[in-house]
Amino acid sequence: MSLAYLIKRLLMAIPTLFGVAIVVFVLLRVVPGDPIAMMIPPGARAEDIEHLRALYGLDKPILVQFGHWLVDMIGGNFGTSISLRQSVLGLVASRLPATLELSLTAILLATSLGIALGIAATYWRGRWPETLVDLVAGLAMAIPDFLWGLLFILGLGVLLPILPISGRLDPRLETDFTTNFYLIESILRGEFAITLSILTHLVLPAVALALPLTAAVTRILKSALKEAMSQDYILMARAKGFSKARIIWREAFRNALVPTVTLSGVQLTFLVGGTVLIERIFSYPGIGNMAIGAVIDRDLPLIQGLVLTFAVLFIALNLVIDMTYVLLNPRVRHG
Amino acid sequence: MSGLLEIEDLHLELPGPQGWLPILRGVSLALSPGQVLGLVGESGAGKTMVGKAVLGLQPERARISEGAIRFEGRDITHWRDEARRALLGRGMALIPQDPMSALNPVIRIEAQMTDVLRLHLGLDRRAARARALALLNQVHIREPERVLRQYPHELSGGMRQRILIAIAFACRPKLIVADEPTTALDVTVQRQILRLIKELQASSGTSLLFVTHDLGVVAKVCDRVAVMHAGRIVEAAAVAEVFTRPRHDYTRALFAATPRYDRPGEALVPVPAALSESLFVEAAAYDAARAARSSHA
Amino acid sequence: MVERRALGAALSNGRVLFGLAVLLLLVIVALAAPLLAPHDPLEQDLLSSFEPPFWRSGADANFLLGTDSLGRDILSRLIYGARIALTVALVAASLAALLGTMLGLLAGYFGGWLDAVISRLVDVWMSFPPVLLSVVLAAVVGAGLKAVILAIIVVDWTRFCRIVRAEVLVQREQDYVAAAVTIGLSRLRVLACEILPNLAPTLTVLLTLEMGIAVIVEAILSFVGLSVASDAPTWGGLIQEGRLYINQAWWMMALPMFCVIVTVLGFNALGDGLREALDPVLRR
Repeated sequence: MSLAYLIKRLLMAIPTLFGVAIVVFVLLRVVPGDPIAMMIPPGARAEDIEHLRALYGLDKPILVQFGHWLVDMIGGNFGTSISLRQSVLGLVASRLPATLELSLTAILLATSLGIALGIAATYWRGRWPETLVDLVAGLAMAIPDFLWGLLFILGLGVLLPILPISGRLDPRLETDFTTNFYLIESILRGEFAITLSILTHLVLPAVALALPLTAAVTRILKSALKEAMSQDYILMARAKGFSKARIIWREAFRNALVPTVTLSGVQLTFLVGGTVLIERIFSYPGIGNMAIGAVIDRDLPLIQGLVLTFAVLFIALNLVIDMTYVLLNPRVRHG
Repeated sequence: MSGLLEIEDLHLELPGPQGWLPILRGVSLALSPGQVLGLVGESGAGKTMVGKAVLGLQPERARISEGAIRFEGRDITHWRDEARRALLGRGMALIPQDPMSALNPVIRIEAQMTDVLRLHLGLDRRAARARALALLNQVHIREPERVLRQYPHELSGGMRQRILIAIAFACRPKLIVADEPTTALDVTVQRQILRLIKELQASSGTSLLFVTHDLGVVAKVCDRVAVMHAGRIVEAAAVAEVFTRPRHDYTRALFAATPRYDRPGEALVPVPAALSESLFVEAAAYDAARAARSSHA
Repeated sequence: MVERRALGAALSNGRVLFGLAVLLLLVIVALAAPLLAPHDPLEQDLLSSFEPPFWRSGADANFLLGTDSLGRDILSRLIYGARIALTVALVAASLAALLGTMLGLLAGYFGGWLDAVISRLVDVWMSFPPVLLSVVLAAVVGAGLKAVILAIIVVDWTRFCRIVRAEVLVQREQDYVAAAVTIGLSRLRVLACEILPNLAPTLTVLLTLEMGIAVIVEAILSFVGLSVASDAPTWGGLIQEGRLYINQAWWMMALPMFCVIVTVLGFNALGDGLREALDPVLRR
């Protein structure tokens, strides 16, 4: 049942992807600024400009451009970046691992912290820890991740300089890695000095990214736990002689997890989107940072490639969330 | 005293918009080992609350203002936390009312049966599983291995209730509170379940506090019966006596109101309003007298 | 009757009061900017650059919150920044609400292919990270307030659309709708006159929250350099400037951040408080 469902969802994602591709393409053809003009030194001859334009295929009619682009895309060719003069695919592939490491760290942080806080608020319901959790969650949710990032830079980077605020690792360290998954590879190779450097550089951006999601998970879980704890099977568990802590963890939590996963899903995708600004703020070399640069430089092929990449990540993330929901809910699993 | 359970002058109240609302007004009961006591009454009479108070599972905002509950000679009225948890599931257990919602929907049956065995009897996984299978056999469930692997939503209401009964009897408690265990079931299944409960009770010698609104059920399962109205015990005696020679008007009215399957054409006779009224008035008088007493003290 | 109860419930809620206070303060500051600001926000005074704010030694009483790299008074720039923030919040949020609500009403009430098309559109739209989408849009449309507002509308209409559609689906099955249809009201009239008023509380809450989001998006866009002309004092722009000099004058970044945070917290408190206050009143 799960496999068929998975395939069905994958197939449903394709038209969405197609729609995304069309939107991306159309959006960027409306660009008023002339990307070619930005590359040429002033005073260039008209024929040089026309030559470059033809090279990048920007002189053909729109539909032809779209057709070429689509064919190229399916063939794996995403074009060449106008500002960086490298293949878009190559650029994305080189920077994607950094963003993935950052996002996954943030997601892990957010889920574990959010779950811990949600359970704590339930265990101490009606007492001060619950109020404290509510307050913290409210604040974490109201302030957007990029402001948290700036606050961290201000507080923990400048005023009290205890953590690094830019880059991915100490530039003095040598990395001779095969993949760009620095964190994972450094652990596998046992180069723990590098691991440590990467982790200290990840702390501030990952926490800033994680805070809104943590708040969402805490709130949603707390509400779902409250709902679960009012059910009859909880009374039954008490009648068996189990303690409150065990009941919350073994009986209520499994039930509360289901709606929590679905409802937190949206906030999770916001986290991935948040990498755009956070990476910029912390000068972290991922695709988010590159995206902002691409937009400012009006680098069409790169923008297209990156927006498409983000869309794919979003869709993949939604798929994972749906799958998790099915896994957690036996009623859906067995039909 | 050889009594297993003694409830003495129990007063339980719930907080209301204008002060405390009396739910139980001086309930007194006694239950001996191996005995089945039925607790009958209309909805709202307080019978479920008696059961919950005995188990210590009454709502948190409720308070027991007077009286005592004694189990095996010990006063457990205000027992909480560890002391209470040692008792629940082991010394006393619950058969809940609604089998549909009393089982956790995301946990397999095996875990829901073995957890209480492992908690109170200290059995390891294999021993607990074996015991769970034996229990399923005792409650006449076919293919017990298959059932253990299943989730509650895959089973019928009758099967779920059997499992809940098995869980109640699992650690061989001295007392089981059955809270209207057949109310939520089909009529055809009800008789089977009642028979099963009686059978298990007889073979294990467990005492039963059987809460129900159905006199027919009382006739089949109970040795003694206590009739409740508005939080007070109106009449209490052996089943044979109450059924042939009910002493209180209200008891008689309850009997008259019970629909008879062997006399289908007969019109239903509700409890006379005047009788109900007078009983409520008595209850109010009781509250007033009690309030006066406590303000003088 | 219900309206009065709703108003009473709203005004007795602490969070609503806090939010309203912030909103009021913002409106006053924005409207009275020329009167309140001690200096012209664009006036440069290179001899007085990097003056510290009043709580630090060596501060100039002329510049209460200090000056930036070009000697411009920070307090005045913050005050005029409030103008831009408020304008964007009100206009962008209302228009996004308008667009999203209209499409949500149509999708939810008429169903069928209209719903299918709109829902698919929303799905595709929400596949983009909102920040990236707004940045790309702002880059496409060019600089200026109109561009920022457009970017916010285009990105956030989906939020209204989804929620309104879900609400309409629920309301559509209610008895009062069937009653209205039987007395012969046209479908559009039912939608506008019967269903829409019942969405008023939800829409009010969403609108206030959206205003907070609009302020944030504007700050982001001006932080990245894509908002109004770089001279004009936007909070986001001030944050970006402040970031450049964070080591010499950290308050240059901290002060506009404080303004944004208080404003956003205010709108959020208002929205949450309204949701809390209005919900039980109407479920009755």
